[in-house]
Amino acid sequence: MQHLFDTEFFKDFTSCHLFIHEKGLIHSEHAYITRDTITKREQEVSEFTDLFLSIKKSKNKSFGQSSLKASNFQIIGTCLAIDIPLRKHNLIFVISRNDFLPQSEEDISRFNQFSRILKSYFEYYLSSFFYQRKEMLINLTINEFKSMLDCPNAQTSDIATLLKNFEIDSHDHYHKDRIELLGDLLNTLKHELSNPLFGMQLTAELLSFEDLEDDQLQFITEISSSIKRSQKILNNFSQLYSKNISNEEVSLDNLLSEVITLTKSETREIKFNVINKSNKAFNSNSTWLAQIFFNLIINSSQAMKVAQTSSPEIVITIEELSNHLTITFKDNGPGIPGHLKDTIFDEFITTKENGTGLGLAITKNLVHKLNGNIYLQNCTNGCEFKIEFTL
Amino acid sequence: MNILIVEDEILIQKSLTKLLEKKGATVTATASGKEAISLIKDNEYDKVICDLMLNDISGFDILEESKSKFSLDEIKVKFIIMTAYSSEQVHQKVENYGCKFLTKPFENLADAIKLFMS
Repeated sequence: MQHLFDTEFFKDFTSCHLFIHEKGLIHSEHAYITRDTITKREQEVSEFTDLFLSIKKSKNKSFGQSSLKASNFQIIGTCLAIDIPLRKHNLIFVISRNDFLPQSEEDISRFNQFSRILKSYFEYYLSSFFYQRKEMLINLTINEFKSMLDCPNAQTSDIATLLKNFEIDSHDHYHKDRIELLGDLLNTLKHELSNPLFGMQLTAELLSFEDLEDDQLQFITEISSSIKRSQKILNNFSQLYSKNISNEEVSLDNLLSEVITLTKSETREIKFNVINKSNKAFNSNSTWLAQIFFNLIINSSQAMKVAQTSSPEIVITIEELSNHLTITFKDNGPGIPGHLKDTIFDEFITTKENGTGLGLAITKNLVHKLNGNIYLQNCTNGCEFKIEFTL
Repeated sequence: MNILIVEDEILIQKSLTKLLEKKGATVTATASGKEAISLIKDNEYDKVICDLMLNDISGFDILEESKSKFSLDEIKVKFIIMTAYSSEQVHQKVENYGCKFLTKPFENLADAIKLFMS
């Protein structure tokens, strides 16, 4: 958080306060941050709520020393403050220069712009903590319950099935929320960038009307097409992580190309070969499909990286067989050890050193949600997964 | 033709101004919603091209304030709303005012300019 003071906008500010209240708890956290120190304390929720409401009421979010109601914290001079309501938390962010000069219109406008980014950032950051803690609690409860099942009189089979489903559900919700948060983050990014990009696009169009030399005109045309490409990438990425739960006609070629672009940081060395032998329209949920493809590609690429596979390649084949559509992902990596072959889709099964063992379990669950099936076709000569959907 | 552009993204504001001036319009531009309200009160514009998400107030605040000077029919003809944040909700709200609505980036610049000059 102290890095904030190194940024262009916050370089003249000297201190900030961050208040976080997790909904449902009777205490909130308060951190006082300067360039050199961070001081934390707990705070009554009523204090937090008073402060939150008084900031919420203000239109321009600019305050004098004594104007923040019920403020049991030290502010010297004027400050900018924002109330940030999140899904599981409420947040207050206050920043001050420790002087008595009023904030300029430009400061206020940039602060408001920054707050929108801050909202998405904290939503993602705090929620992942929230779920990690919640997941820990669920796991503890499950383990407690499991030891109770060791009692010889317990009807274990029913309860064990119930527990298994509960485990899958809890991971599913965690996964779904993470995807939604990523979607929100990408959406904010899209909106924040699309305005300046559009400004550049208009300027390029305007300049192209001028009396220009050929090479100058060529530059302008290239700038214009780069801007359009950036806009398209932003649009496609935010659609990949949309909250859309309905089915629509999906172009598998386009979807695969977007997912491959998205995995570029992990798959730079890998050669992709997409063979599409199908020309039938396919109705499905593109967000879930993208997740499935993403998980399979990342798994392959990580395995090939660890095994230092030479000329790593992933071949993706789309085929129609009678009334079925099959999509196979085949790599030339190290494959999967034989003893894991039958349990590879189970939870907590992983070949990675730091893997959670959830990726393929979630992938299988998503394929089932789309009324499809996924099989491990081959695991000795590279790795091959086949997904099958009824058309 | 007298046009007011209310847009806080400076590149959009400046290039739209130039494009419309090339078409013969007289353009006033501002990045501030509050300034736009007083400009609308004190001047006569044939068209007001207004962004929704401004830094100080929203485009809807400008529409509301303009009700004191114009009838709903006049607002319908005079105001064109643009935004990069298009959602069903926003669409619906603009439709309630009856104004034309454009999503940024424009699908077709020539059509947008035609609409602004109509």
